[in-house]
Amino acid sequence: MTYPHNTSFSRDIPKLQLAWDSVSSGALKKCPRFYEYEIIEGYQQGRDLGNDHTHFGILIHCATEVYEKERAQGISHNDAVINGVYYLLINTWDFVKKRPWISAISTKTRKTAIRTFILYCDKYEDDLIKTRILSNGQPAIEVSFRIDLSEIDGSFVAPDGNSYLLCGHLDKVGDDVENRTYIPDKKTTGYDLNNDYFSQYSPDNQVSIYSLAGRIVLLSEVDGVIIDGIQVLAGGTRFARRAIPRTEAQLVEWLTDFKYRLRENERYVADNYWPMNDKSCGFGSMQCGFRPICSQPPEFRQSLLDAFYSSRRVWDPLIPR
Amino acid sequence: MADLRPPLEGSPDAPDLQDTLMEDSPLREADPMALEELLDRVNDYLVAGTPARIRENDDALLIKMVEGFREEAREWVQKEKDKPRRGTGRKSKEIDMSQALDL
Repeated sequence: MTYPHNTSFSRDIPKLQLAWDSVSSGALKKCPRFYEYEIIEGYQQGRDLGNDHTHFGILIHCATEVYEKERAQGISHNDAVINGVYYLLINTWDFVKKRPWISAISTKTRKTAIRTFILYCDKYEDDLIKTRILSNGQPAIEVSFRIDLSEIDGSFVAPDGNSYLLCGHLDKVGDDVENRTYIPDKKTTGYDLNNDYFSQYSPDNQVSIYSLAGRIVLLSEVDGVIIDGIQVLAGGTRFARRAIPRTEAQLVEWLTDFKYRLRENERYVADNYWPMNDKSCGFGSMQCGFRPICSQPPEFRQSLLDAFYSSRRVWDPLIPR
Repeated sequence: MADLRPPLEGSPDAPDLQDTLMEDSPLREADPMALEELLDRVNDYLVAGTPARIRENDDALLIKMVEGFREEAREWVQKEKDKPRRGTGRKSKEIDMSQALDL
């Protein structure tokens, strides 16, 4: 079976990724073998708890995008909420099997997604951080960015002569009454929204990328990424918001570290071998989805991948959402 | 469109949401409907391949659903407040290293 060319990879060196985002760079940092399976080969882990966590987060993200765009058009809060609820009802329905989405996670279901969306919108109806309106009149929602890293540091050049790129999408760009610029990002979780929870975002790959992108793309000082924590429980939802700052020195350090990672990946590509990081496999609900593969002798792995991870996808950071 | 937020208590001018439903609306007959019943009604429309019916009667079903979720949330918040607090006898030793925003 052939798969469409992933445009974020080199045409001359097929397994060399040139355009990176937080998902692909995070995969490489977690474990090179995981990166090879998930990003290069595109093996899908099938239906598991991780997918339902991700799916729930995407539902909230998309529904609030509907809400934000409608509010920017002058539609009332309640009307925008109703339209977002309708969006969720339709997008949590399987029209082929004629049944609703069934989640394996008891706290992240169709019903709790709708509840979470409504309460989030109500909570931040009069948000002090106002969504910026861009020069084209559109709200700054899902702001895509593509940064040529060689323009920041000339050594960010791949063996095929092309620049390395950093890509992604900012959930939202907002300004407060004192014109401080923030990049809010929503995170759904089952954990308490305490200092321990927020401490996971420093250091954090995605927050660093968004902070860097904000400074470069917005051409202004970004006061920080804001994590809008949403604790989803069986009976209710809690919210907490925290700014996660990054200094210029921290961002320079992130770039330096990323350059080292890219050089390591160039070696993996040259050797056509991505080593396992056997300290990242995890266990329980946090277990790597490829543990069933990696735990087997090497000679059995390909047939297991072909049998149980037959669904493939192309993760291309260059494809706009 | 009229502001459909819950009416302020005691306000003589506050619109009564029930009165916005048409007399022959099945939703009016079933007032008040639990959230599960509303979701079942939505599922019936989706199974029948008629998603547009979810938005009949000026979104009456969706309005009730949104208010139902809000009411459920208010009840949950009250239950959480009424729960006896568990004390450990020790003060928290958490160090606040964050920049909390009062936003």
